[in-house]
Amino acid sequence: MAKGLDVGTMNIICADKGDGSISFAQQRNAFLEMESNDLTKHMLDNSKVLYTQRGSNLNVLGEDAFKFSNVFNKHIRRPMKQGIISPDEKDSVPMIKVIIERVLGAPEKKDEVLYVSVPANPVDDQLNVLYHSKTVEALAKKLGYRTFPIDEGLAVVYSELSDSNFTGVGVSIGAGMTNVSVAYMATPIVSFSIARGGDWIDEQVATSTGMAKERITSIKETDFSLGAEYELGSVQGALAVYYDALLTYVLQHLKRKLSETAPPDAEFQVAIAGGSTRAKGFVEMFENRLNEAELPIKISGIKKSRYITPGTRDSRDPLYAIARGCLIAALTKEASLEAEASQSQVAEPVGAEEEE
Amino acid sequence: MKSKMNHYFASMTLLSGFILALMGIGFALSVNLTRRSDPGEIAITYTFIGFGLSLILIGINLMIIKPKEYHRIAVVGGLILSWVGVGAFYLIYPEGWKYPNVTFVAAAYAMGICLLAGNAFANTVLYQIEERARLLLQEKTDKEQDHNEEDIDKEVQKALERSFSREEEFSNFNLGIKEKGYDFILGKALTDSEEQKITFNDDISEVGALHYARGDKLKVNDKGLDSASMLLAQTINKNSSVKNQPANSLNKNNTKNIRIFDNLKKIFKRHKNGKRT
Repeated sequence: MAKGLDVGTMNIICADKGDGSISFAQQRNAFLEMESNDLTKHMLDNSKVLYTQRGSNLNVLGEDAFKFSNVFNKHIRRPMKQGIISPDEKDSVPMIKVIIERVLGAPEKKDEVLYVSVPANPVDDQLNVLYHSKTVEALAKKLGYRTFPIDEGLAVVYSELSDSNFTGVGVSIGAGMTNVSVAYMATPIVSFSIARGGDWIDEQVATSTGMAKERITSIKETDFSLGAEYELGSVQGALAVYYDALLTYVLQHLKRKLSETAPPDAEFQVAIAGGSTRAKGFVEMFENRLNEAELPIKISGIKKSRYITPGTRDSRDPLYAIARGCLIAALTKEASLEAEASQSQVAEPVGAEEEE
Repeated sequence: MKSKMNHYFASMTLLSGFILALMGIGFALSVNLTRRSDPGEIAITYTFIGFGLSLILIGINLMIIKPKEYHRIAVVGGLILSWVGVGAFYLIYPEGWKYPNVTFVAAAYAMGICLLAGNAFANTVLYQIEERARLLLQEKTDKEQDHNEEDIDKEVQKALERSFSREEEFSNFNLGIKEKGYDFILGKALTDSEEQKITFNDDISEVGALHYARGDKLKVNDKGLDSASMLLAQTINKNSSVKNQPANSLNKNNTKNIRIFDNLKKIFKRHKNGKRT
C-alpha cells in the first residue's frame, strides 16, 4: 500500500492507509548528544529510548531528545533548519536517515509508491531546496520505495480541500518554513515558501524577552492562545506580536505572487496546516489578516482544521495534514499505475498471438 | 451549359469586334483614307472601327467571372451609348457633323466606351482582390481540416493532463547512495522494536475525487479504438453539417469554428465543475 511522508523541520511523519483507517508514525526530527556509559545505555534500553552510539557518545533521537534536554538542560540538535537539511549540522543526514527508516519502515512490496513533501522555492532567502529534496528522495528510494516529491502546500490542498474540487490555497506553517500553494482543480498556480516559521517566532521572542528558546517553545505549545489579553512584557504577548508579524509577512508575499499571475475567476478556499497553526485562536487571527490583505482572488472561507486536544485526536489535526495529503497523492498515483499495468497485461497476449 | 454558352457568345462578340475594327482599318488603308477623302468612306471606316471597339469591350465584359450586381446595367448602358454614338455619327456625317452635334455624338460614344472599359477594369480588379482573400481563407481552412475535432479534443486533453503532472517540473536526476553501513551503532530500541503508530478512522475518500480532478485517464495505444473514435467523430460531423447546412462556404467555416470552440468550452466547463461525463 502506498505511503505519504512529511519531512518537516520539527517532525517526520509517515501516513499509511489501513482498512477504513489511517495510521501515522511520527518522530521528532531532533537528537541530543549525551555521554555514554553502561548504566546510561542499560537505562535507555530498558526505557525503549531510541539512540545511536558512536564511541563514547550517544545520540538520543526523537521525542525523547526533548524530554532529556529539559532534564539535563542541554540544547537539542536539529538535522534540519529553515525547512531544509541543516548545513550547520554535520550529523544531519545520518540522523534524518535513521528517523526516516524508523517511521517509514520497509516497503510491503517492490516499488511501493511514496510521496515525500518538499518545500517550494523560497521567495525571501537565498536557500536552495534542491539538495534537500534530492537527498530525502534518495534516502526513501534506498529503502525500496518508488518516490515522488510533492509541494508541502499542495499536499495541504489535497488533504483539506476535496470539497472545493482541490481549488484553494494551502498554507503550511511549520517550524522552519512556511509553504503556500494556490491550486486550481488540483493544479498548482502559485507555489512558494518563506524561510520563516515557528522557529523564527521562538527566536524573535527569545531575543526580545531574553529567555531560552526551548523555554519559549514549551510555553508556546502548552500555555498560549492567540486573541487573549496578555500581561505587559509577557512571553505570550511577544508570541502574539510575532505570530501576527509572520502572518502579515506571508500574506504580503502571497498577494505579490498572485499579482504576478492571472488567477482564474473562481472561489478559493484557504486551508491551513502545520504544527505552528495549532495555537488556539490562530484561525481567527489568520482570517482577520486575510480579510485585511485584499488578495486578488475571491476567498470563500477558511477551512478550520481542528487543533489537537487530549483524548479527541483525529486525522485532520493540522500537524498530520501534510502527511495525509502526501498519502492521498500516493494512493491516487498507485491507482493510476495499477490501472496502466492491468491494461498492459490485457494487451500482452494479443501481441503474443500476432507474433506467433 | 449556360455558362459555356455565355463563354462562346462572349468569345464570338470579342472576335466580331476585332474583325469589324480590322475591317475598318483595312478599308481605310485600301481607299487611302485622308481628311479630304470621300465622306462616305470616312463614315464607313469610323463606323466599323467604332462598332468594333464597342464589341471588343462588350466581349471582354461578358467574359467576366462572378460579375458584380451593377455589371449588367453598366454593359447595357455602355452598349447603348456607344452604339447611339456610332449610329448618330453614321447618320449625320458629313452634313450634320457640326457643333453642338459633334459634342453630343462624341460625348455619347466616349461615355459608352468609358463605361464598358471602366466596368471591365473594376470587375477584374475586384475579382483579383476577392480571389486572393478566398485563396488565403482556403489555405487556412485546409490547415484546419488537417486536424479534426477529435484531434483538437485529444490535444487539449493532453495539455490539461500535462499541466496536472507536477512531476515534470522536478528535476529527474536520481541521487544514488552507496550501500554503506552506519559509522555508529544503533540502540536496542531502534533494532528490536517497531515505531508506534496512531490510528484514526478515515476512509480517505479524497483519493477518488483527486483521481477525477487530476484527469488521470488511462492511456491506451489502441489503434482500433482510435480509428473507431475517428469514424464516430466524422459521423457526428456529417450529421451536424447536414442539420446546419450553411448558406455559403464562409458560413460553413464559421459553423465549424463555433463547433470547435463549443467543444473546448465544454471541456473547460467540465473541468471547472469537476464533472466527468
